[in-house]
Amino acid sequence: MTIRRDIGALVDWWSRFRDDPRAELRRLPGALRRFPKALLLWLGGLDRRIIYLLTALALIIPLSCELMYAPPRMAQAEKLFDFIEGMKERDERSLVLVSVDWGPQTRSELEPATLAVIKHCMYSRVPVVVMTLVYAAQGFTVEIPREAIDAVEKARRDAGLPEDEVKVVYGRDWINIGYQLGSVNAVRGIASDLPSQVSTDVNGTPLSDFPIMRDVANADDFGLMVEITGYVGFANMWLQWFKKEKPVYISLACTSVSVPESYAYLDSGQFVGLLEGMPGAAGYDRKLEETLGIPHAEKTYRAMTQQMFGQALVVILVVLGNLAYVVGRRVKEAA
Amino acid sequence: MPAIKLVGILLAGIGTLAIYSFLYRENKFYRLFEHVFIGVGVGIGVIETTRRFLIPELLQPLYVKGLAGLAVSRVVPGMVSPFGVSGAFVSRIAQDAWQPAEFLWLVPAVIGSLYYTIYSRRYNWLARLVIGLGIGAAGGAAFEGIFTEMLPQIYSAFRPIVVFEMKTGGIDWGMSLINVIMTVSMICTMLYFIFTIDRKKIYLERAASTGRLLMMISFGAIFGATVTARMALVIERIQYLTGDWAQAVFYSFYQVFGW
Amino acid sequence: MSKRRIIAVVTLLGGVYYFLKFFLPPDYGGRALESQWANVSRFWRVMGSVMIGLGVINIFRVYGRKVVKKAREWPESIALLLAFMGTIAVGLVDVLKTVDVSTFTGVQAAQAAEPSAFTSIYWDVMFNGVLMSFGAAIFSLLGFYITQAAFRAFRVRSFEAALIMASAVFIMLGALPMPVLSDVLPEWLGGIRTWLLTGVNVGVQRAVLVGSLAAGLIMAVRMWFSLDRGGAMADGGGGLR
Repeated sequence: MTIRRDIGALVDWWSRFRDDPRAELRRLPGALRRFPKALLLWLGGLDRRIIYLLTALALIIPLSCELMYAPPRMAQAEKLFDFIEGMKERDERSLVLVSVDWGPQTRSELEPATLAVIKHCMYSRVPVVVMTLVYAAQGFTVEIPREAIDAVEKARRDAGLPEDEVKVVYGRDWINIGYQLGSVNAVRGIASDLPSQVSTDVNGTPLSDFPIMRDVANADDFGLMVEITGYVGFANMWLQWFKKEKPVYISLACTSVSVPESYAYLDSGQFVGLLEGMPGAAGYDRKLEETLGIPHAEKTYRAMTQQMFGQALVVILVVLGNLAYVVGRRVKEAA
Repeated sequence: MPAIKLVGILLAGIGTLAIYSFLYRENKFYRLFEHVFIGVGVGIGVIETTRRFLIPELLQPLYVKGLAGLAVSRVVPGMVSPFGVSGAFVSRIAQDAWQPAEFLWLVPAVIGSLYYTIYSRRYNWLARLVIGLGIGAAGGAAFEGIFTEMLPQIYSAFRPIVVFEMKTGGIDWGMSLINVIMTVSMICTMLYFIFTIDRKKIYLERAASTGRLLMMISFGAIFGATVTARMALVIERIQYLTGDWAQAVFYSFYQVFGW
Repeated sequence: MSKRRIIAVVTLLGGVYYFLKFFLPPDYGGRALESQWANVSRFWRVMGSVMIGLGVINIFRVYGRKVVKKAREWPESIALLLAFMGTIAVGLVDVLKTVDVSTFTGVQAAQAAEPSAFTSIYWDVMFNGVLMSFGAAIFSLLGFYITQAAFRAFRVRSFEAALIMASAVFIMLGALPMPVLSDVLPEWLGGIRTWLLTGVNVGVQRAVLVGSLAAGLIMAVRMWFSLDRGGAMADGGGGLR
């Protein structure tokens, strides 16, 4: 146990210092000169649990100090923002399909993204259809729109809109068609013949009862599809199967891991915008606040601040790890 | 707060801490919660399959339009039921009663059931029929899927090396540079992976090794992105523990001890 | 016909619908096939849904055996089986609550209201309490491991490693809030991230992507025509002749 050894050395030094403080003080300049090297050598043998503890501290401290900084602007997220803003002017198809295809593992990155996109659609009065292909996300398709509605209604009230324009109405402004089973089959089913694939909303009410779903027959009636996923292959599935006659605009919100790969699709125009994990969602939130006045989600901003500390720790550890490695190797060679 | 919700949140926090105890060392507490997670996970999978697939896709149509429908159509063909207490029930069935075609759905059910022969030494080749059917479907569907996904990638790979600005007619140097870099990195990376051509020519070798370096830049991007993603996972848990869970703990202390 | 050949034929049949639907022109059968999509996809769903018993059987085979033989981790295996059976019991109650028993349909009574959050032991304890939270916790262990890996394993020993490191740092820093440094760092530094991702990265990723998709297509053909020995043909003592 390296920790026990280190504490033992510290106790030894203290007893020596108590016996003869002067002798120890005389040794001090030499010890100070050797200190950096000794420190690096010590770091080289650092217990992994201390690193875990440092990681936890780096993430807890900014949270407990209530630090919160504005995230940077994200160009690709703003592309999606501009696309949704321009939908009303561009053509008559202004229905957005949001597929919440993520589970607990990627919640941290994709919950803010889902919330930001739904908030934007609701605020800009772009009707939005929420669904999921993953049974684990059924609860999210209910909770996240709820949160979005609260934020949007608050923003509208703060903007001084009359009360009848504040409300987000279920069935007119948004609808939840719930969990759709059969992944590829469901995607293609919705694309080619929506009424035969989905007959009711999540509560079991026939879709024809809702104004938002009248005249919606297939993929051609959607102005935009936003896929929010952390699973491998889900984005590809929508790219491959969600189409009827006309091309459908698809946008992606993914976890940070898949960002480099997704840029290839963004470049080819297969995606019209990209929310790059947590930073993308935070950038989108910032854009919403700056242009439309919807207050940002505090959780997201805080998380980005924690990211800052956590990643700084990673960079520092890489540098220290390399220095320790070089020093350690030199000592070994000298021996 | 409803008691059930509270129990859920408390359990979630305790489980999270138990799982984090693995970071200190492997222990019984961790193993227990890990096993509970697997058990509950499989259980939920079975329940959701039953709720979303088995009942609405097979059992319900077979029962309502098949068996019950047959019974109803024999007694009151196409009529609203005169059956007192069960009237509402029968009338709802009678609306679309007796669709014998529904029994055809037993065919895929039987085919799927062949998978159970996997436990038999003698007949387990029948399970391979089911696997084969699935593989065949994936193979056949791959054509449409892959073509739709790949073709835009291929034609967007052809880029103008010199890009002109729409307004002024001058050269857009930034865009041109990006296009050149993109094209060069694509060609070099492809060359690195092509082993069927003779690489003795020095320029091919150089291009391939450039491809290797360019790939390192892309891998670096993946590494950096991965760090962000992994940090996000811990951040979510920490926010949960210090937010919802801490609140639930204080709330339950308040409820139980009055402080 | 040998068993092997029967399996090959069945495998071929499995993909015929999708293949023809894609390649036949709309007016010569393509549209007709497309209109059958709902039935074909229901075929797969029904086929898949009857297989749930396999999961149940396997979990009892693997963990039940551990308990009976008192093998390693048998007390945990009891906990697993109890959790499994408990979830099934609680879940069945939940399913019966949402299934309309009079017509046996899987939906609740019609109501044109905004959906409310699910509340029951199944959703709150099993689903959110255990599945969601434990899953997130187990995955978040990776967050700790990556710092450890960055410290222990990331050695800049060559030019390639230095490139990886430099690129990673730019990707990370470009997407982070810069509270103090934003005044110090030049504007173009943040742009490097976008530049790396849209320039070099897209070229490399596209090369890999096109390569892997082409390989995927070839694999698909080989599997479909049973030209590979893997897949359904893999012989694990399955009595194939």
